[in-house]
Amino acid sequence: MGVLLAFVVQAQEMGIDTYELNSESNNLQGKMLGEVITLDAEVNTYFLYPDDWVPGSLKFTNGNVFEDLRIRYQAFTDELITYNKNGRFLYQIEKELVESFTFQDGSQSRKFVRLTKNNNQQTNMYLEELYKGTVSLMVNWYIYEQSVSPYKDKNGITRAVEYHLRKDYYLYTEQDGLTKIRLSRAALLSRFPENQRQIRKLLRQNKLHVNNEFTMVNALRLLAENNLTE
Amino acid sequence: MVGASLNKELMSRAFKILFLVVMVCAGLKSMAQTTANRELVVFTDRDFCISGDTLWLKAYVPKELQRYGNIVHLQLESQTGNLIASRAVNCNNTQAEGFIAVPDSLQTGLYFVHAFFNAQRNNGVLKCTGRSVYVYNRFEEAIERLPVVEDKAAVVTPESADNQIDIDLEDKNYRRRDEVKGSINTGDNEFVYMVASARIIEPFSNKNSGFMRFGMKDRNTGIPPFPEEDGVLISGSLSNRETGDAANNLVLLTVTGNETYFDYYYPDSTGLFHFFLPDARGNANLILQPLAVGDKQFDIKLTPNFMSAAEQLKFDSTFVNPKQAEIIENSIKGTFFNKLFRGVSIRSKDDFEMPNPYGMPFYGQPDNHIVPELFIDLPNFKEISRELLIGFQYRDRNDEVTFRMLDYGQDRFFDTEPLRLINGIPVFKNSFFQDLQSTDIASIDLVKSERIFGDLRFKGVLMVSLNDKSNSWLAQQPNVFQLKVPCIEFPKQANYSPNAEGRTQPDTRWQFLNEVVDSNEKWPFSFQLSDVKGDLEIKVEAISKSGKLYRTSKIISVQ
Repeated sequence: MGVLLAFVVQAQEMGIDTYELNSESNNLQGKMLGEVITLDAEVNTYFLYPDDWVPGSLKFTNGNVFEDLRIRYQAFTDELITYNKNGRFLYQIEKELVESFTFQDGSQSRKFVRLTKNNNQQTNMYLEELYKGTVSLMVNWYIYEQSVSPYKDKNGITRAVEYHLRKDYYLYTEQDGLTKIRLSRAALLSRFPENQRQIRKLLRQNKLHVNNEFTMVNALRLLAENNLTE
Repeated sequence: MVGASLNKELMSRAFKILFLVVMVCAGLKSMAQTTANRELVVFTDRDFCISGDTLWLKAYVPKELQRYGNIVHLQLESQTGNLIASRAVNCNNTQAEGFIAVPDSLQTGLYFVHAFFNAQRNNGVLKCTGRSVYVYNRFEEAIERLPVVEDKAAVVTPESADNQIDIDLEDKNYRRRDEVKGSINTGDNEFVYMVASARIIEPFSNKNSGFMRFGMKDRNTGIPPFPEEDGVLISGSLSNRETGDAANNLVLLTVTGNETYFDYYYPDSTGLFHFFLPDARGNANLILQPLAVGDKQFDIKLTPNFMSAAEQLKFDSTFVNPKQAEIIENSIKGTFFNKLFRGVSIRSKDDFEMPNPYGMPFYGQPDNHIVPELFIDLPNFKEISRELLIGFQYRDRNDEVTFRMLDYGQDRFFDTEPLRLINGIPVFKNSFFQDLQSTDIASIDLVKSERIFGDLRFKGVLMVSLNDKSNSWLAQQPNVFQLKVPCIEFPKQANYSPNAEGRTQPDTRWQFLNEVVDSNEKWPFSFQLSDVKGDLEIKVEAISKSGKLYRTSKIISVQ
């Protein structure tokens, strides 16, 4: 025990924390990169999705795949958080390296991909991929901060804001990047002005009333099948 | 009546036994024929080579084996099973190409070329169709006897493909330096891979070398059967220098180059460690550092990645007749002249390329990147840290220098040393930094958060990139092991064409062609003969869909 403690102290002075290493630490296919974090009560209560740590997997842009992770999405800072069971610490995964990640949300499997929004800063965003096609439907999960009358939360802390998990929807094409869209027929038609008549007819023939995620996905699939997404 | 019935019964039984024997034989034959479509098959551009020569190889990779990765290991082995040289080459669909530089000091004798995928090492006895090749030492004065394989069961004699493949030549008679033009017509056939080659025959090796079916076994216990995809696995063992016992301290790896690569491995009680170097081409300069407690000294040995023959072949020795000896002697002289006038075209031993697989430093993007050149010259690192490194503490108390990095997130300093790197190599003594002047330093990166790399954690990172990349400061440091390791071979093609200098210089080439025939119809070829006289053999070796080896050749006399 004394030797182990001496080693830990020594290793720390070497600038590398090495304790709790074992053969599982030796992933030959590549290593995870990230930053160790601690979650405060506010983050833990309001910003994490899903409510508990869920099994998930991750793919890096260099092709490295990491399975059997326990992950949660931090919707406020748009970061992916995972738990290192060998070292027993939390860390946020280096966003620039992530291509996609999936996790199990109840009975549903959710896939998020990292895309770059072509604004001035070229912001990297995690978006849920609801449908992948020539025109894909993506969801941006975010925390909406609403000012309210002061109240005491469940931890007894006085607050004047409420946090709500909200979604923004985007259409994505490799050529045009991300374009925000509402889940409605009018929004869909306005996205394809040259094919409006055909799209209107197609939706009518298929009795498709676009007003939610499911019907928007079906509509985009129909459009792709009928080559109306040009 | 009874006799006739008995006779009939005996006849019937004999017929059944005969039928059974025929079926078993047919089954065995069909098994033997089809094994090659589950095996790597190695082709060489020659039957013999002179020590110091380059042996060019092609390997046929059946589709069934592509699940084992895309890195094929080619190896040259002696009669006694010792590894002489090896290469890791990329395979492209069904083919891998490469070369083995035959050591200059290699003794005259019979050698074997094998191929395998690393992921095949747990397959028990691994089958491979390799080649035997004679090597003649260039300093050998008179070769009187040479070994031959006694165990004929291991020798694979290809079936004749005379009916399926035609080698047509434009002329019938050829003289030295003539242009040989022709075509290979394969028509409708079932061949999946064909190699055409042409060389002047050296009769002894031509008769006694060829394809061989090898059984190979993994004798390097401990190398994992890891499928190498665009990278190579490097294995080794760590031991205590004093006791010789296996040690399981953390081993850090730094690969220096244009971009520094970092990795770690935590060995088990056997002390074995493994690293996968993605996209590493050429000869890597590895720096291995076991993380030591106190003054403990370690030894590191790398384990060569090769497979050994499952069983030792039996050899006989046979006399070389004077005519054969004369041709061997001529070939040795010819190779010498060839080298003298054509030079050696293989890449420099120091070439190395390895892109950063993460596209960023392993410690993430730095919070600060400082270029001291942009500021006034500072005489030591203490001054540099005070003037230029915001959020970094250089503490000098009781002759002990400690470093501390600011933890941005927590707005306080970390209570332990940051990870310190010089030119990307971990450094554990702050004294290395003390005397660095700003003119020595190209840049300094500071990371002011707790970073992770796999399961390692760093409380801040200080990375100093020196103008001098030679890393001479590493010399004489305990527990620092610098090793040159061959990784994936750079793709390279053999050059069989004559020297551009023309007729003014002697041309002593023995090999003229070694190419994959990629056409199912007419495949034209041409090459210029050299000054070497003798029998020229143009041959095509082919593998059928069922994995059977075929061969056809045409021999013409060069006057």
